[in-house]
Amino acid sequence: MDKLQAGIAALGVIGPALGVGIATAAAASAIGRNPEAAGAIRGVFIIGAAFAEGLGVLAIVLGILSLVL
Amino acid sequence: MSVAPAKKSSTKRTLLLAAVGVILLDAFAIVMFGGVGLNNFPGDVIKRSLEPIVPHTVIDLGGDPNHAASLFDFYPSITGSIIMSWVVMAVVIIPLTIAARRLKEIPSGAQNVLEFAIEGLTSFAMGIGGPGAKRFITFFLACFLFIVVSNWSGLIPGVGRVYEFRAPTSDVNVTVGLALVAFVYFHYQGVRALGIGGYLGKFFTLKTGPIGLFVGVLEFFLEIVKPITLAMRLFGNIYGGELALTVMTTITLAFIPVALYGLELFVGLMQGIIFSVLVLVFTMLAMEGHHEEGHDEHSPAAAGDGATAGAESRVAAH
Amino acid sequence: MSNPTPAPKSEREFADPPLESPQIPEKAVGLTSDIGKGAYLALFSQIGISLLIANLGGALLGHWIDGQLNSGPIFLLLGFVGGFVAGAVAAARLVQRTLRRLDAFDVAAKAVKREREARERDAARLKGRVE
Repeated sequence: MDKLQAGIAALGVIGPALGVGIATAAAASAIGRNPEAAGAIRGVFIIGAAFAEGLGVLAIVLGILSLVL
Repeated sequence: MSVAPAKKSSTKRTLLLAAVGVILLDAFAIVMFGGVGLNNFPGDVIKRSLEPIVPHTVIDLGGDPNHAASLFDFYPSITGSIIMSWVVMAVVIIPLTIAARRLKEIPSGAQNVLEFAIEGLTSFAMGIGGPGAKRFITFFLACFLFIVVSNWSGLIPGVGRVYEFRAPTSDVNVTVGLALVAFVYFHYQGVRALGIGGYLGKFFTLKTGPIGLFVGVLEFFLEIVKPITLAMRLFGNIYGGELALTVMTTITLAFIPVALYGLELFVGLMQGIIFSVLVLVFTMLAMEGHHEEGHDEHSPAAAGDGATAGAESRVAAH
Repeated sequence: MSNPTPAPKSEREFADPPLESPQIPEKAVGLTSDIGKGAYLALFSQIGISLLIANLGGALLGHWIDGQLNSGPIFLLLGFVGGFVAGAVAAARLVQRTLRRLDAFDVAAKAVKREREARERDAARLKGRVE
């Protein structure tokens, strides 16, 4: 049952995965439209994707904790 | 035989031959090592062929025959990963030493390749660190070469299955050791550049108010996180990749593993780059003076001077 | 060293890396911008994993304190939240500082490349006019 809990908790990664995918698509099209600003776009993308990734990390930590505790 | 169709059919034939060879290799592997006769075909075979996390002891130095090896223990023994890391060192050091002995003015052959690789990595490192990074390129190259060669050494068939050989970076002890070396290295460089007082003053400063002090103290304690992340990422990627290769080979024979093998080659290279780049970045951040941080976040001029000089110097040199 | 216009002295001062031989002229800049994505990859992977380790470490530390003090899951929750915040702060500062460095270099390299291209174009035009 613990393992099931962990698996269900780790399912929360789906949301951030979608978010990072959308952000990557937007960044790619933005760089395609305006290649001069690639550096700035990359910076914004990394920060936004890091926010999304933080939420995914929460899900993974909950999963690991439900296994450990 | 005209040229174009012949080429096409020859590619086709090559692919067909490769597929037949793969299947033959599969049959051989199943007959030799596989578990056709075992019950519970996938599960038991996977369990039997999985690489354990704990490295296998080859030479026992502790003199305790009943010692059960665990992941983090301080029992003196020589494990398979240590032996393989010696092999990796020999593979890296000996050819480079031989090549460095007979350097010529006009490079040719192997020296050309070596110079191209080293120049590429050097300019890559300079691109990240600016001209100040020149002193750390030795360490950067050493990290990169050792990690990449040991990542790829796990992909040689047999390494990991035989007890005497195991890819060094798929053993958590080796990656923790590498990360500790890196940790000591970049803190030493930071202390050497700023002095002990200046280096500690970067964290415990009252200039930016109580919130700045809090963030500084937090960052001081989070310095411990850096080597852990370095070690865990390297170990997780390489060990997980080897497990995935094992499981896919057991379940689907050879077709997916061929693709996965290519992916693992790429992952090994990327992990080497990531580790050494992060060590370089941490070194540069540790050396950064404390007037540069906190105040002028949005002015690229502070960091821009060095970087601009570096870029121009590289172009001006040519 | 076949540079048509002699560079000013301030640019020359850095131009002595012993590992660089004049065999590979413009490939150095191109290689930087190509593999340079590896730096972004490293940064991005460092964000996620440092958050993970800080968060997990905080939570486990809180759990251990709970076991010592025999209190409820108070310190566990505190460690969870605190670890997440600490990891986020560390990751944000790392990204901020590293991106500043990388961006500055990117801009500088691009400017230098553009300038060199313009110089080459001028030289070609001059040559054509002479002929």
